[in-house]
Parts: sequence; structure tokens; C-alpha cells
Amino acid sequence: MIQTFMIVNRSAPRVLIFEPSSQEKRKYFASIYGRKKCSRKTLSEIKEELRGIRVKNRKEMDKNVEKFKKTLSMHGLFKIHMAPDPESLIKILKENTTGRGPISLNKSNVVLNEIRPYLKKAGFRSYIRYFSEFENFNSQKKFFTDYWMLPGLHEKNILETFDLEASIDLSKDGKGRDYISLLGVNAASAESGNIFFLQHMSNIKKDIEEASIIFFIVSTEKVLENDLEAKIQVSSTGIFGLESVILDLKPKEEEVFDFKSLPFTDKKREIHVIIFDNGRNGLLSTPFSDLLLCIDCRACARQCPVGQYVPQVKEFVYSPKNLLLLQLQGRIGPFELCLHCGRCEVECPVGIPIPELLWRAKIDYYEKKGRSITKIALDDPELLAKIGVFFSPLSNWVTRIPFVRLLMWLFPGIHFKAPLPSFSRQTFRDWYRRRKKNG
Amino acid sequence: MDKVVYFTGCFSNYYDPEISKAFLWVMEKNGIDVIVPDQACCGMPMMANANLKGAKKNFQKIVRSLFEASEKIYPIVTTCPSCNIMLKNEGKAFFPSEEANYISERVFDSSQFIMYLDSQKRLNKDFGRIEIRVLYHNPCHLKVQNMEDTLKLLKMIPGIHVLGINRDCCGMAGSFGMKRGNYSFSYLIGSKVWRMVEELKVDAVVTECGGCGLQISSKNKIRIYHPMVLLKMAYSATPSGVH
Repeated sequence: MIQTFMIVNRSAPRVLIFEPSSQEKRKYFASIYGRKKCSRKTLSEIKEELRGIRVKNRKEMDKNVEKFKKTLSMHGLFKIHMAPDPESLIKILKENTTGRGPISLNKSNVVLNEIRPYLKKAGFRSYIRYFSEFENFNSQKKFFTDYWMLPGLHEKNILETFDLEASIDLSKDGKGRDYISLLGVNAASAESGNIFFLQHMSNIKKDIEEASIIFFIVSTEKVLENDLEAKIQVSSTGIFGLESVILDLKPKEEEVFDFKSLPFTDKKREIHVIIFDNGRNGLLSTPFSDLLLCIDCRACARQCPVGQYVPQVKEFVYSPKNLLLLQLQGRIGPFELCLHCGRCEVECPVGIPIPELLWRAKIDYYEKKGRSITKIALDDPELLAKIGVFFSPLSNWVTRIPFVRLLMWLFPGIHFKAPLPSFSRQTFRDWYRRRKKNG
Repeated sequence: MDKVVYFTGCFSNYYDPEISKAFLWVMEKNGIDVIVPDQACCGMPMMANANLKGAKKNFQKIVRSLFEASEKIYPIVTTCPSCNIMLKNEGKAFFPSEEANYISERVFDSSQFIMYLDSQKRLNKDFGRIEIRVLYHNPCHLKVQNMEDTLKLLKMIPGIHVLGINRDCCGMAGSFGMKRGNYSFSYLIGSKVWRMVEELKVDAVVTECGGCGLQISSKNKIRIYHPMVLLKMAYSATPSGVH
């Protein structure tokens, strides 16, 4: 795929939209003939290549951003803004959108988690247009009730089947409808100024063609040195993130808005690029710098056991990494529901040690805030076990009395229905020592 | 190799010593001496409760103790998946040392070690027959290390029928599922494996993790076996079998 990909070398930056290719093509690549004809990379080769690209570009984040700005400014197509935080981004939006219509958003993690709550506060009406695309959705199957059972799609012959769906020339004049589009980009090329998207429905393409004001939100770590690297990153977002896209596949009525019914405006179409940092630069010199390797594919959410039950899902696009980043940005507290199972790290295509970083963030947080009595009481189960064994079997009997369970519910905070193990009358190590002593 | 260093973990030391005794027994059946050095909790519960100092103290203590006991020769074996991953990956990321790296490279899970013995043609396969239908629950801390040696081990024992494999989390995660605020989450996550146990109508569940076993048996009241306990039973059984 990478070999066959042609970057259209034009002077003005373009928007390149990628999509999973047709089912026929995927079937062809899955067939014996298809496999023979293409020199396909293994999943681990793709991961290795991607990590190499991410590590290199993390080192050159500032340089890439400067070059990207310079490239864009050469063409005069865009108004370029720098937004160090969401407040300044909202200020930019307010200054440039007075009296204009509603905002259409894409499903970008950056837009939905880091910007949308501020849009709401500032009084902007926003909709995720993706959810207006469910016209033919089978209402009998509203969503996958048990999506953890989905087959490993990225193992199933979709590796080389992400294609360039559209290459949009932004320099063409056109009339836009009276609404604003705010689109978080998947990658941007510093060298060409091209902006890359991965599209699942057709909402991004429609917005770029129809909105009268477009804001491309480029978070600083998404700027890569060149088009090829950006292309690999976008395809990888699809390869590793497709399952997570499917996980969220259900209609949301509250997000539906008929943008097509809005009238065309006479005002000149405006295109803005906002380079959005929101604490990313500050992470570079911390133990959390690996978060800047993230491509926002949300593969880490795929096997997370708590993902489908976490209440934050309603407010934020869920992934363990997203919640960690939000904590580091000071938006939420530590992710207390993490089971530290390690599944997210295994899924991450660039190998971010998410469980380790979640622990680090939690420790940093409680070092400043102080730990709760429950945390202190439960952090040394060995001490509790020693006491329990010493008083066994009395301890086993006592801890099953309903009144005692109620007291334990109050302190240290053990649920009265939770299963408790029974203390042994003699520890294994004591038994072993006696056995050894007696020969 | 005629010795191994055994890290018991808290569960099999304080709650279910039969696991450790079975491991000792299995090793003796294979002509291997077991060294049980001084040890403490691996530190994972402390890390989970944001007690870095406590975890450091425990981790450094056990790493030193295991390092000395192994005499740079003997492998280190655990019967608890969480202790295993703490010794292999998590601990050294926070408390790096030469000893921690050494332990990390030489630590085995008990089933993994049995299969290692088998690969070296050193495993005593004098198993009797155990007629039992089981579900194997692969604990997260082994799954993420891509370890399914227990399945291979179960296949070697005559009479054991593995009717299903659960690779999803049970929701217990140490003391997580016991906490007042987490119980309902833990219950929701656990419901899948409970359903599986009911549907498959198995006699028992095999899992390496004490916490997973506690969670699974809490609703189904099903018998839980650590693979080492089953292996001990297999060595004790006659060729015609026991049930």
C-alpha cells in the first residue's frame, strides 16, 4: 500500500482523506492470489515502523510545528493560529465566528475531550456529524452488546486496505453553508502542509466541502515531517483503531443535525488552522513523554475490561490513555477504576506503557493530595493477612458476621457482599520451615 | 538444574497453602529441590493504592532475597500471576536495579516452568487419570504476557476435558472488587465468566490467580483448582483414574 501510494505534489496544501477500502479489495487481499501479489508487512513490522516514526517526530515536535506553520503561511490559504490551551482556542473561535451557525465536529479525541466541554461552556451549539450518517442503520442491532467478542479485525487481512478516498484542493473557491466545522486532524505534514484524515463515514468530506468556516485542529504531536510518515500514521490509525470505531457504533439522536438544510452564505469561505498544544510540550521532559507517541487510534480501549462500564464514557471519548491525558491536563482526577490488567499496553501499536503511566500519575496525584484512609488501610493486604492467620479460625468466623461486615463496609470500605478469602490456620512458609526443621 | 527458588505470593501463603504445597510436591516428583527464601508481599497492592514507599521497600527486599537465593544459577518460579508480572515487568520500571533486571529475566510462572521442563525432556509424565470437565480462566496478568502454558499442561493429563477458555477479565483485580465503590463494577465485569461457567456445566474452573478464583467461585460456588493442585492430583491418581 505504501509503495502504491502517490502523494499528489501540488503547490497548495490539500486535505487527504483515507478510508477502509471496499470489501471486494479486502477479500482480494485476503485471497491466496492477493497475498502472493502484494508484499505485505506483518503486524509487528507495521508497529515497529510506526513507533520509529513516532519516536523520531516526538524529538522534532517543535521543529515540525515551526516548519508546518511556515509551509502553510507560504500559500496564504489559511489563517494560522497557535492555541496553547482550550481557553485561547475558544477565544480564537469567538473572534472568528461571530453570528455564525452551529458547529459540526468530527469524532476526534482531541476535539471531543479537550475542546467540546469548553465549547458548551462558551455557549456554542455543536453536533458530531458522524451520527447523522446512520441513515441505513439496522435498528434491530443498535450496537454490539458484547463487543469484546469481536474477532481481531486487524489480523484479518485489512492491513493494506486503507485507500485515499479524496484529495481536496482547498484553494478552489466555493460557497459554503452557514455553519462552522471543527475538525481534529489525524496527521499533518510539515513538508507539504497537507492535512490527513481517516474517515469512517462521509462526514469529514462533507464538512470540508460544505462548511463556510473550517477550523482544522492540529494537536502539536500530530505534525510529522513528511507526507509518507503522515500516510503511514493515518493508515495505522485505521489498522489498529478500526475495532474501537466499531465499538462505539451506535446512533446518538442528540447528535443529529441536518446541516444540509442550512442556507448557503454569501460570505467568503474561511479556512483556519489552529495548532493546539494543551500541555503537550510540557510533557516532553516528564516520564509521561511516551503519551506523545500516541496516534489516537484508541486500540487501548479495545480490550479494556472496564471500558464499557466507566461513567466518564458519557462525557469523554473513552480510552485509558485519554483519561490519563485528561488527568495530566488537570481536567479529571486519577483513573481509579483501572484494574491494572495490562491489556491496553499489549494493544497499543506504539508500545506506550499505559498501566505504568497510570500508576505514576496516580502516585503523583496522591503525593500532593494525600491518600484516603481506605487506601492506607488496604495497601498492605499482607499485614491484614498476618493478623487474620494469627486469629484463624476465629477471624474467619468473625469476618462473616453481618454486623462485622457492616462495620467493614464503613471502615476500611469493604463491600458487604464482596467475597473474602478464608485465612489459613498455618501459613505455607511456616509449614515449610517446620518441615525443613524436622527433616 | 536441580533447584528452583519459589516466590509464594500472599494468596497461597496466607489463604490457600495447598497451592504451594502442591507446587513443592510436583517439584519433588520431578527431582527438583525448592528453596523458599525470606519474602514479603510483591508490592503490587501498594502500587495500586498509590503507596510508592511501601512498594519500594517490599520490592527491594524480595528482589535482594530472591537474587541471593538463586545464586545466579537457579530459576525463580511463582504460582501467582500478579506477583509474576510484578517481578517481571512492573517492579523494575519503578525500582530499577541490577538485581531487579536479573530476576525479571529469570522468573517463571509455575505452568510455564512445567512446560519448560517438558521441552527439556525432563518432565515426569507419570500421570494418572482424573475424570473432570473444566473451564480454564486465563488471568489478565498471564494473558498480557501471552502465556497459556496451563492449557498445554491440562492437555497432557489424561481425563481432563477443557470445555471452555475464558480470556476476559473477571473484575476482581486484587482488592479492587472488594472495595465499596468498585463492587458493582466488578460484578458487571465478572458476570461474563459466571455465565460461561453456568452454560458449560463444568465440574471445576482452573485458574492460576487466587483473586480470580475467589471472584469466580463467589457466585457459582464452583470448585477452583490451581494447575499445580491438579498436577499433584494427576501424579497421585492411578491409571484407571480417580474423580
